[in-house]
Amino acid sequence: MRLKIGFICSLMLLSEIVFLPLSTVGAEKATIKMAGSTTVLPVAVRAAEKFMAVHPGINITINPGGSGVGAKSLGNGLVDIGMISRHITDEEIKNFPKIDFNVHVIGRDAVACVISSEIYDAGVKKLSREQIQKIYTGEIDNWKKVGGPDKSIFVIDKEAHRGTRHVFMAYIFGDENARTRGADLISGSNNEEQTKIALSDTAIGMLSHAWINKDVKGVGIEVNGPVIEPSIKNIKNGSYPISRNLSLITDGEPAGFAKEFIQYILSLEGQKIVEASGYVGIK
Amino acid sequence: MWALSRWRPGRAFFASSFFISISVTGIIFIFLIMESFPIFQHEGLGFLSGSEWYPGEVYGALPMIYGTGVVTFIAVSFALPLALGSAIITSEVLSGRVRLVIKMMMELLAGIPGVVYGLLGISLLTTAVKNTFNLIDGNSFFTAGILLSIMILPTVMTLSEDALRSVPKEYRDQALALGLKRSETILYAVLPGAIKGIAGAVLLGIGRAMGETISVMLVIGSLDRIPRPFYNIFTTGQTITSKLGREGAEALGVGYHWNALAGLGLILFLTVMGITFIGNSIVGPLAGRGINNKMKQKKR
Amino acid sequence: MKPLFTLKDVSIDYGTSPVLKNVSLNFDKGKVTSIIGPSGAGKSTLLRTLNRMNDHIPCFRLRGEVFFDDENIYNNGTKVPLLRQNVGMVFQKPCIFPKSIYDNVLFGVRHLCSGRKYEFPRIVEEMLKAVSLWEEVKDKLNRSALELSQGQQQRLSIARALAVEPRVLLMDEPTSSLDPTSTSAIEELVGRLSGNLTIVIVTHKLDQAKKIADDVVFICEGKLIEHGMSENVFSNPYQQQTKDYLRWHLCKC
Repeated sequence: MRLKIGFICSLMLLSEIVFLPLSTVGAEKATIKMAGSTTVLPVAVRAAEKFMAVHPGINITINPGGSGVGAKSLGNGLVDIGMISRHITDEEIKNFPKIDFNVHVIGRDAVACVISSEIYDAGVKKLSREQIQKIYTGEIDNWKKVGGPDKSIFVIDKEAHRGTRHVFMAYIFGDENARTRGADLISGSNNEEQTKIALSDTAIGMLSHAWINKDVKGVGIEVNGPVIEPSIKNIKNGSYPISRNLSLITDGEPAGFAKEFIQYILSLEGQKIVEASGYVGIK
Repeated sequence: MWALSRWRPGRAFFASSFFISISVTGIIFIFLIMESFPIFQHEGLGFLSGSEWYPGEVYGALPMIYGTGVVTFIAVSFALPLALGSAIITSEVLSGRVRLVIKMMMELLAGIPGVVYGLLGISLLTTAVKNTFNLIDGNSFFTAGILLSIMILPTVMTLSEDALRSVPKEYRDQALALGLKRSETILYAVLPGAIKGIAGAVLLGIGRAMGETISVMLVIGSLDRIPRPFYNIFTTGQTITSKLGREGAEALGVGYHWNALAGLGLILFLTVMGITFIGNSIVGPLAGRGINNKMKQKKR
Repeated sequence: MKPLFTLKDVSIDYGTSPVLKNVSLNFDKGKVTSIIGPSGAGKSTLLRTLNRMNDHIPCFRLRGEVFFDDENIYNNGTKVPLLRQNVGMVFQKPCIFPKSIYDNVLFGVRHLCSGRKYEFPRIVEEMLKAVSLWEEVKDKLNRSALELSQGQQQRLSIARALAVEPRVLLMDEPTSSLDPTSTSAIEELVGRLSGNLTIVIVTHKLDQAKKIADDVVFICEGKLIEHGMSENVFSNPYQQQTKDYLRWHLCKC
């Protein structure tokens, strides 16, 4: 069973590693190039498919890579639209003085603290901010200490530029670039992290809540007593503490087809796609 | 007119492809030196000896250099005995047709892209390693090394087999006629004649192992650290290539982060070039001899 | 006297047409027997049957029986390496390993009887003397044997075969790639070695066979035509085909 999960997950991973060939070859077509956050990716891909069906003259190519890549690619003029799941950092603004980063929020998402289903089923349903902090610094290294079974904790961290990590660390440590001495493994995209956690039976990690499934469970966050589950309802009412905006970024005001595409995602139909992807719309 | 009469398409083609490959290599080399220069200015030799890597603050390449070395070492120590054994069996024991089938399969295997091995690695090998060695997790130097050993096996095997085949048949006949057993013949008459070719095959295998990116990236864990104790290969780490694969797109183009990655690239480039050069200079003349021998045999 | 080798009704093929057809033949102990015949007659195949060197050729098949010292060497239980220690072989082209002269002489001995290490220098000297190479190479035993001339290399091959102390020496056109001086050196060597050693030599040079052989075997297209004492076969052959071959180098079999 576990092997099958692993295999399916890794096939999904393949689609993310390889350049996404959404476009058909055709020189006369106009192209919108996009890159960035793997959290925004599913929304962008689904919206692009629909958009291209309506506008046969347009190609949309979408490259994953993470929020850092999204900001960088836009900064370097490699793409028309960047995808980010965090805010633009001061350093990014400093690195690209000529770029006028224009952020278009398209939805909201929660970053869940996720653990292997084995641990969840064994009783770890909630963690406090301090507990997660100590797990990531290495002070807590056994599930026993947080009410789970006697098993070492396999701590999964993310590449430093990833939006999910910025948001998660900003809440847990109050520093989006926090260092984690307790980390055992660094992962990249949401799919990769999901695969690694699904294949492990003692792991902890961070994921967009849309990636939670039966092998990868999101724990509730204990905030001064009450426990808040990572759910659509709690994102909507604003009670879940680790949430963020999902955004598209452009250099200045978007124009032409890029503008049309962003408008499409912000439309009623586009917002349905956002919600179908497991996020919360902005309207 | 003189030049025209000397015009030989084959030679011109060879010369141009030679020139192109030399100049591309040269351009890459110069590019890496130029792009990595600032980091050597900024960090000095600390870039090579430092073990901390935090973009924006400090860049130390040692964990990556260590990881590349360890992973390559594991890959070769597993691949070499297997490759040599199967090369000997294929070349000395099996009949011509079976041999061709095996060679074809090996060359097919050598052509499978790294990402496919990586996916098999992430889904099958990590689980197998985890269960076999009873680890918390299957991502480790060891897993990456095993995966690489599978990847370089066809290269090392086919090249070793070529080297064994290029040993003149007369050596075998002579040793057998003196009353040596089959195994002694292989050991004392065939292997010594092929040892250079095998060494070359291993070096080319090392080159491939060092340069492989994506499959390693998927199973090594990507943590920039030298394990404690340093020989604990069942823990996560980082290689130069996996580091470049993880951070290349994000660091693209500007800043010390980019320069540091270019520096890693330069280290890898120099090492692999050196090894490939040695490998080719060992294999080259020997392969030539093999062809000459075959031609001589045909003439007879 | 009992023959050393006895072939009874031996036929050989390599999958397609037969190479030897129903050959029955004896080789006597201590004699030099020369196998003659046109090229493609199966001379080498016949020679290689005696130390089972044909085994390594794909599709090789043998019917009949070959006895060496009353033992059928094509029995399942035969220890082929042991047989080959007793039945040494020298090839058409000298095969020299890329090692020193010293190591080439010892190549067989070193791996077969490693217990006699202290005797190695003596063996090298004795064997090189036996093939009249000692005086030429005694000062450069550690130099590569590849530096020697073709003729010297062939004599070195013989020394290497003799070092294993075989009872029989098979020679497959050993002088065909050599100059006249080296050829006569080897012919003279064969004369000296016979007596203690049984020698079977394949040659296509009739004068060479006449010069060195006690017995002559004439085969043609895989069939044994004539076998007899050298002087009888050459002066007064029994078969018409032999007469034709000796006179015209023609063979109508």
